[in-house]
Amino acid sequence: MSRELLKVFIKGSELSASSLPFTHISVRYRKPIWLPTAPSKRFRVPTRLVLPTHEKRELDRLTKNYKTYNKAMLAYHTDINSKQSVTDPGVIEAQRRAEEEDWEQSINLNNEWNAEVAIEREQRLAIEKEQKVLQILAQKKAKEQKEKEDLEKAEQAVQAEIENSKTFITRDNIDHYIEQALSSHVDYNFAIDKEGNVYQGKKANPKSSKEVTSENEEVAAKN
Amino acid sequence: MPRHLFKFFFPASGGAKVMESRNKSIRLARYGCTNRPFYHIVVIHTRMGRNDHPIEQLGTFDPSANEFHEKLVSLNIERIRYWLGTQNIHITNQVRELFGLAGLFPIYHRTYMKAWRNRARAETHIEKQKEEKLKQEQEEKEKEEAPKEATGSG
Repeated sequence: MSRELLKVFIKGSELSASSLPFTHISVRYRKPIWLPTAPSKRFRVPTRLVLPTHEKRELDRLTKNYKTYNKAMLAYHTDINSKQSVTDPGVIEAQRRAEEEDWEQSINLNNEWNAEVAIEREQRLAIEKEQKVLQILAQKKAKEQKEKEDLEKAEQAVQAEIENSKTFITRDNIDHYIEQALSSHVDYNFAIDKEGNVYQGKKANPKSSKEVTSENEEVAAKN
Repeated sequence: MPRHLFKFFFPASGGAKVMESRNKSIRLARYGCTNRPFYHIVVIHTRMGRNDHPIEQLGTFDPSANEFHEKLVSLNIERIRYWLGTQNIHITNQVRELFGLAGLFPIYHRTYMKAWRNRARAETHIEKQKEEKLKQEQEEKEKEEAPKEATGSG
């Protein structure tokens, strides 16, 4: 077809169809649609086909038969399709039944599993109950023990307080203690050397001090 | 997407979107090449082009006879039966012929016509051959008799 196109384009130019580079290719090209009818075919009148009468009658009969069968075949296949389709009542019924069966089966399975789990749970709960009872008993015992200990401690504290109360200053002996405090004079004006000798008096000379006392001597004197 | 790109990405073996409102037909789509036809039997929307993207390919048909004088046809019977059951399906005459010969449909009337025409042609051919044979025999006889007559007369 491209060759034909080229032929159209080069019409009237210096080039010719024989000068094209691919003239050696032998292909029978079709007539392009835009070219007119070939001159040899221009006045051709195609002969009209006339069927013989008996053939026509036979064909009519066959056509009629075929059409009847055709209708039946298509109806048959439509019927099959509709039976297989989702909107068919039979199909819907079958689906519903299948669903129900599935539901029943699942319920049964669920019940079985529930029973199994219930047995396990009862055993577990029994064990847990025993453990709990033991735990509570232990806690009770521990609590009693602690209370007892606390009571003893309190008793001891009370006893200690009673013991201490003997040295308490009361209304009766307050004068005595006041007297004692006033009479016992302590002079803190003293110095201590490295050997532990105490030099009484604020401005006393340690060489001339008469009140020099060594701690060691004091300890020895006490013993 | 332009049509040629569409065809490039989506092959001829089917997969077009089915549009419910549109009529479909079972027909032949010509493949092969010049002087060597090869057909796909396809379901396609009726208003689409011959080799457009079909909904489904239902089979193939090779009209040129092979070395055993067989024209090979392959049909996906299950899918054809499905499509026959759908609404507004149009089947072309060529496909009807094939289906009739395959046993899916009754024999198409054109098949009968072709058959009786072929038969008539074969019969005339045989008669012609017979006549020619008779003619030849007669000629031979005449040839044999002619010299006898010549010798008899002479």
